[in-house]
Amino acid sequence: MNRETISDALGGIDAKYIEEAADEPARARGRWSRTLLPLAACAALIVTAALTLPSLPWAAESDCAAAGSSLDQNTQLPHPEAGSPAPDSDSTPGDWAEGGLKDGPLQINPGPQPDWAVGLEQSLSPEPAPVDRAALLACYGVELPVPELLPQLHPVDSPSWSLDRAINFFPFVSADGTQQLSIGLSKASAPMEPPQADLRLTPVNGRALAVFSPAAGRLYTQWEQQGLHWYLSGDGVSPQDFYTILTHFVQSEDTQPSSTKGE
Amino acid sequence: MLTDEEIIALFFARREQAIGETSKKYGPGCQRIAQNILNNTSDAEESVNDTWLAAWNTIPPQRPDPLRAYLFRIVHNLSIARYRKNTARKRDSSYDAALDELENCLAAPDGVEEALDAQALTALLNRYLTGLDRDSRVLFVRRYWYGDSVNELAGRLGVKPNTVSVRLGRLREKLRKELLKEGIFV
Repeated sequence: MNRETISDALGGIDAKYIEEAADEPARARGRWSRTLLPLAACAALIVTAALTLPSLPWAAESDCAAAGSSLDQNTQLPHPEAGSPAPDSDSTPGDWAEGGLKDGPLQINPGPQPDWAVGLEQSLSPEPAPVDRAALLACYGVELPVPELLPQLHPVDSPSWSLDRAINFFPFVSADGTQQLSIGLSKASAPMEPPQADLRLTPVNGRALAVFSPAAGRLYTQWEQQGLHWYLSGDGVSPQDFYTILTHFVQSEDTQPSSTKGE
Repeated sequence: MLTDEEIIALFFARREQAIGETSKKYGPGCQRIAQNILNNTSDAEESVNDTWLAAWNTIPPQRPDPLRAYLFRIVHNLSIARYRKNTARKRDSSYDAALDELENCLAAPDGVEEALDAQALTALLNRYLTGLDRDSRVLFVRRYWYGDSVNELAGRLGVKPNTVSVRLGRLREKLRKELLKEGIFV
């Protein structure tokens, strides 16, 4: 049975099963906490879970951190040490290999970001007229010198660039395809909601950004400046490199746009 | 956040706000599906954008219920189409790995033929899924339809990846036995 047949067949499964699986598996997680947390309370008379969870025998049950997988929303990430090394543009995806996140300045929230895109300004067109990189960046009034910041990444042209699109993405990839960075730009009219109070925030150039890790090896953040919405996502890009990009493009809210070097 | 009914009403009223509200509510889920299949952020984002366009073009007359499964199926199908076009790209997404597992499991025994088209296999899959308990069914669908990696599933369930692998192995074996019972391999 070939892959195409299997893939086509899977695509046709009943919508009720797609819907059923769409939610988080709360039942499985609930069962874990219902069974084990009362045992913790009885066995160790624990008052504050944050003080004792790492030492509990079943804490080893979850290999989330060790496997570098998507992390449970309640997982406490290690805080970066003070004086962490400067961002290294030659850093490799190996930064993720040892179970998530190495030392670095990013404060990363596991799980998907609360919002992905906010509002639309430009009308949708069934046939968006293509436009080249230079014209599009001129429209946005920005330059994207990513290869100068991260030499392992190279720009990739997108055939779908158009002034008719609400959001345009500018991809950058490494030669071996293991690292990808995408910068999305949008002149959406609705303001972005500020990060929620309970999120870990990363200070960048006087601003506080919420960075998410929707899946292993992936980073995502968004911010708004000078009327432009920025969406930054990285796959296989190290937290240090991601931070390098942020420090270049994020502007404090009271500065004028800086004249960046050309691509 | 708007309800599905309110979002669909915006589509019917041809208000562009419908796209923004849909994106806000279901964007992360669609993005995850596309990313799992394509393993490429910009391709995934394009699939998601195309999903909003497809929704705009089909609602109305469609009045999907549930809206989420409708959108997820669109982005899934668009991503599969893009995945098949990307013949030059390395096939290393978690969806690739999932298809490998099923392909190995569902291979016909040596010396026998199989005659099963996708439609018939879909019907069999639906029967198979109906017979599973909810947790097993969700695990199967998350792995083989949503394309979640074993590590992601382990993280969601709070168990070791090996535990997930073992459970998936048992589910595949059960599926294989269903195929044998239905005489698919002749």
